[in-house]
Amino acid sequence: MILTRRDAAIETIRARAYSIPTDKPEADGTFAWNATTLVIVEVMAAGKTGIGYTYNDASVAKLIEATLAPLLIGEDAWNINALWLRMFQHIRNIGRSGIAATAISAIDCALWDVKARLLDIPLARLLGVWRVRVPLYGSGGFTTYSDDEMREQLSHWVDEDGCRWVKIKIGSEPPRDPHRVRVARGAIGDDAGLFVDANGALDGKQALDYAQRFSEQNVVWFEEPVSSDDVAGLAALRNALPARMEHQCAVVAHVSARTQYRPLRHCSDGDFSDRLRTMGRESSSA
Amino acid sequence: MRERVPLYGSGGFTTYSDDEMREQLSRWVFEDGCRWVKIKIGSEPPRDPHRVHVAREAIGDCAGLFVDANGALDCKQALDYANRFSEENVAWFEEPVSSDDIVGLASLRYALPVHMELAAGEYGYTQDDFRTLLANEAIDVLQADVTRCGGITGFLRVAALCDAFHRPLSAHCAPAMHLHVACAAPRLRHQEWFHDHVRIEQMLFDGAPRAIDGAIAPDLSRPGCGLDFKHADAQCYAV
Repeated sequence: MILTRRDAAIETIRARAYSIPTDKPEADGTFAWNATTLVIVEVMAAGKTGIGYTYNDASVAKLIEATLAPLLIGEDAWNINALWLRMFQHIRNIGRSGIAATAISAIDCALWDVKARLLDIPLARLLGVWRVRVPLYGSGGFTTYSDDEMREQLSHWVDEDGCRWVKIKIGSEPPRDPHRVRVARGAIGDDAGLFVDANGALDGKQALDYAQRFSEQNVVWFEEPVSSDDVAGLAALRNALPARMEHQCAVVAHVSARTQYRPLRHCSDGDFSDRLRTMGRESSSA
Repeated sequence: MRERVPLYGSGGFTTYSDDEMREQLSRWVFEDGCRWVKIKIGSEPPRDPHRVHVAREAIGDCAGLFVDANGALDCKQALDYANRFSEENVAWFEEPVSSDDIVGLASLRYALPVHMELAAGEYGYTQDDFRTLLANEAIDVLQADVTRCGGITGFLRVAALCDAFHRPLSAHCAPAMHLHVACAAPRLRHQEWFHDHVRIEQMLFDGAPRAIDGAIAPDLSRPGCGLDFKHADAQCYAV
């Protein structure tokens, strides 16, 4: 145990990229692909190796080994916060969102893995848990799938894996989507929650039109109906969506820099705006 | 985020004579290496400009001088005194009005001399308490106390709020218990080296931190929070 009170110098950092073909072509409202690239990073410190990864372009591996690793080699692996800050300070002019943020994310995960392995405990124990199980929603339903392929995937998640919700992609050919949503509802039955994700493919009026049509199939989550860069568009839609969909307008999928979350919260979080309204009343009566 | 936590000496009670205050403040600056000190004000406001002047003379021009009214003043009074304190380069005005008066804090914040920061937050117990101060632009520096705001878990969540709102965080009182989480909290600027608590912690805890060059640091040879309670030494104070 005394070992854990010593420094754990980072000895090596190794990153590799792997391109894995999909089982069949996949697409969503704004992108199509036949392979997925995994970038894996291994950080070794005090004889333990931790792993982290990201799904992004292979160039991330080069950024990790050539640019980020030299900042960390020889440093104490225990000091994750300081190393995290050093990495983000260093990539300022490279551009934080996208490539650099995903590279740092992979390294940070590896540093937490190393820390837990040095202590010989599961990472969840190290973090301190709020829950001991994480509920899942099945996510796929690509716009490239036939109706039968989608039915098989969704019913498998609900009936065999026990998922309480499933999500399908929409927006590649919007006029087909009411039919696809009906097929999805038919496949999962009335009890499972149905989510849709447009990946920002629609404009505000289109999104509202489709939301109302989807509500017949009790869709409870509309993800990125418009681009998540359009914060005002999301906020306007949120108040216009059918009431059942109101609290499920998911907007964080493509937001990468952590400081970007707060403006979104300002615009889209009900509790927050309610609180502001309440405080406005309090101050006008004071 | 850091291996040492900078301290500001905190005391200067309104019960002290000028000489007692001088001795306390100059010891923090010249012996313990504190870069800032804080005195209490507001018991007899008309005496405070004199007391601030005495404090400035005791610590010289280089150290930062903070004042804490513990909510004793009203807005107009607070602004009047702030302008007078600015002649002595007071850099921090804590709870000029009650921290329950969010609108009062927010309006004062923009009216204060530009080099004088407004601080509050010691009575924050929930995330909503801190979010209210931040979202209403009521403070320049948020204060939080690990012994009040939900412990280590709550303090780290307050630090994350500060990070999201781009505001610095200052740890309030209980320096020995703050030390480790203060090293890990983003945006933490300094720790209050509060006379009363420093005295108690050094009496009753083995491993209580000592100020070196105006900062405290965890002793990494000790497990956990680094403190062991001296039960026998405490027995005579049991109630």
